[in-house]
Amino acid sequence: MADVKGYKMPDDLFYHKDFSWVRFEEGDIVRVGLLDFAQAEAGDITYVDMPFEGDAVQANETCGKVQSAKWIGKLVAPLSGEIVEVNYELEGDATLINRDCYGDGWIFTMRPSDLESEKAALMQGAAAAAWLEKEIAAVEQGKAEGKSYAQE
Amino acid sequence: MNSRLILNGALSSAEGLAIDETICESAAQGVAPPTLHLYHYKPCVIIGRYQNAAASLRLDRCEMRGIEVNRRITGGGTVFMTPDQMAFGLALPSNFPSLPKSIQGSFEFLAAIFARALSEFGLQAEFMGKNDLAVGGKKIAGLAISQDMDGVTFFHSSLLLDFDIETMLDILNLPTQRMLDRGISCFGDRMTTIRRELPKRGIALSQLQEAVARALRLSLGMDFLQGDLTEREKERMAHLRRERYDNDEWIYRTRAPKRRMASAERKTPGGLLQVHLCAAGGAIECILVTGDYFSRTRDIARLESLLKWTSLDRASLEGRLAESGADRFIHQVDLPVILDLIQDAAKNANGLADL
Repeated sequence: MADVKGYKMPDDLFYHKDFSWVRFEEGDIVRVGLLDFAQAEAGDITYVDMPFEGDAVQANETCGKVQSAKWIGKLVAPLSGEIVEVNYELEGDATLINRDCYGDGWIFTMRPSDLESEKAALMQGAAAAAWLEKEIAAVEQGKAEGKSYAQE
Repeated sequence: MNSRLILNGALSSAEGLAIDETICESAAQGVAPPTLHLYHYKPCVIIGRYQNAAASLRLDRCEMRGIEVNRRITGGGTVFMTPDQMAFGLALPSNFPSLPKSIQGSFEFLAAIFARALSEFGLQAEFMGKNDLAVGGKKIAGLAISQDMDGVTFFHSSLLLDFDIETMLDILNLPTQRMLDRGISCFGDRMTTIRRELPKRGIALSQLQEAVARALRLSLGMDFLQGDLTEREKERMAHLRRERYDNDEWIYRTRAPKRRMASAERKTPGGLLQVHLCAAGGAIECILVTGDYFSRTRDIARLESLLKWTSLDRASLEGRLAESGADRFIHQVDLPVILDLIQDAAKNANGLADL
């Protein structure tokens, strides 16, 4: 398990630039969820507007939304394919993502349709850690700017 | 760099919300400059994107009072709007130079603009909780952000010039009758308005709008030139009205987390403590702490503001409150007692049929 500036990043996962992780499972199924860094930045997640099972989704396109407090952000499909199963536990309590984003807080599973060509865009290991470090730095700077606005 | 200001008078909920979504889309597509929409609403109640209308509102009371119900694209809870609240929509490209690249930073950015505007009237406003703006510890504006469209950050807010608490309490679905009975004084203690803070100044909504536009211009370093929607945008707005804001499917049947509400109370060394809460999914949508304990009103308002939209998970609640020094908010009431009561209320809520 890598630790990037305090955020967990399991070694066996692949990562997408819009802050989702992908786990390759048995058969041709992948499981998708949100990064530890993304859940921490969002804060307590109050709702996830998930795609429906059977939906066809496109890589890099919005397939759902995530709400925390009065903020809404997009949930982006890391790969193209068909949604197989969504995590209904999140409908009762989306804060499962905050507590266990790589486990019980998974969001959906899907059957990729174009894995060969799309897998290369996913990041892993040191490259993923280096990418996340840059993202963390941009957000840390944003937080500092916010504080300076608040103190004006 | 120039930007656009769209200034409107009283709008129906469908008009106001459709214009806001249109300017958001235009900014996302890069076909319009950053746009500020300042307006006010005919009496209406607007729920958050993922709220259940029938559970959150007393729809019969809304109908009886002729208050429109609608749903916005931004998150958060119910807002009751009348011509005495300044409605604010701002669409900025997400890569706008002075816009912080963090969610919290973006909320503070917006709060600072409002604080700058209010300082023109001699009011000192500060950011409170996760996304409220407060004067003297009392909420005066709520802030919401949507970043679900590529490339655009959209801000929604309502700033209170005046407020009709009695009507709001009549149309909201609240945890208990007792909360409703005490509601007027409770809510009155926790929120304030510009007219309440400055009773003799007779400040008009237009003055407030001018101050906000000025503060935005100074903060962003660009002029807002008054303009209107383009013809293409007007067509898009009409389409959005049909698809969403004049459409019962969107208003009443959008998927939302289950909403439950209940109260719990306990005698403590510091006095009787009561917690009334509405839970949406696994988080607190609204909470009111009442009783005969000893505390400063502003500390209770701060406590409630901290708890709003927080996970009901005990560790999360504890983390949130401990880091804010909330164990000192109520005399002779320790943090574990407050946590127990919140969890009791949540358990009571779970025992009720879903609304």
